[in-house]
Amino acid sequence: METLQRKVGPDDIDTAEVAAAFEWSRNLMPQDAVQRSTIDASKALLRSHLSDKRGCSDLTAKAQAAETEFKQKYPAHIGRSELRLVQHFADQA
Amino acid sequence: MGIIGEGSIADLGTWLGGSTAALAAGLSENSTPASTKRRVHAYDLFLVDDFSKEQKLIPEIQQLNIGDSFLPTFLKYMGPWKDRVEAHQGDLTQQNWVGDPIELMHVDIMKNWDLTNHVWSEFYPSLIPGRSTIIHQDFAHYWTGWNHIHPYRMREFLEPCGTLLTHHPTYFACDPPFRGNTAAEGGAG
Repeated sequence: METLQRKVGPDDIDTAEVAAAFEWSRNLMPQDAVQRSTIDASKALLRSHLSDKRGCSDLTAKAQAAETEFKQKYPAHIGRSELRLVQHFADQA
Repeated sequence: MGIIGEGSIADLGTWLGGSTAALAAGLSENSTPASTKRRVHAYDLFLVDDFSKEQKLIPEIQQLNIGDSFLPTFLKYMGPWKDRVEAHQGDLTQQNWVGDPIELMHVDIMKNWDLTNHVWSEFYPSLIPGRSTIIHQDFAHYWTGWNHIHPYRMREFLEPCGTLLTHHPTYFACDPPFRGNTAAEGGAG
């Protein structure tokens, strides 16, 4: 199927499609504010992945807030050290 | 949503093997006759990195150096299900799916653009329309924004099933993940 073979990447970004994609993802979780905020942070941080550093301090703060909220709500969470990745992102910005 | 042995299980990015162990244990207890011949195909680099050591989840890894393979340790822990697990070590972007239909796919490897593209082009076509389940780890993780574009493009063929709120936010898409003949057109076995 052609869609499965069509790659995504920094050189082939349709901003309208990206916006629609995140809105679609967000709407999959209407009852969960933590996950919605995490998806919002993901959308924001995509700018960094696309080498657009504008406003990244604010975006990093949002991501960290989402991370903190998630870990406070689920203290048993032992996943990867996302906060360090975010800090790395902040250091690079 | 239950596994009936119509296809294999793909565990992409198993890391230390927790997901593979759970999947293999379930598969070994599955009473469906067709499932007895099915296996869990676990893909990972199986290389020690800083994170692996810092987490201190596996004692043996503490004795290894950064860059060492911990595949033998992984296989040791998979011992109870050794006949149901096949490990595939290496860069996933350089590997191909074994070709079986995929009945259940756990994806925890979409850590960059290239890995994401490869999973969609190489593994998704083998999903079974109306049968397969995808466990999409990192779907709501804020570092992996690239994860949202492909599912959006394929939304017509994905049915959201739910989320898990422990560990990483997790998203299930399932039954039927691909309607009609779309997966077959993509090269499903």
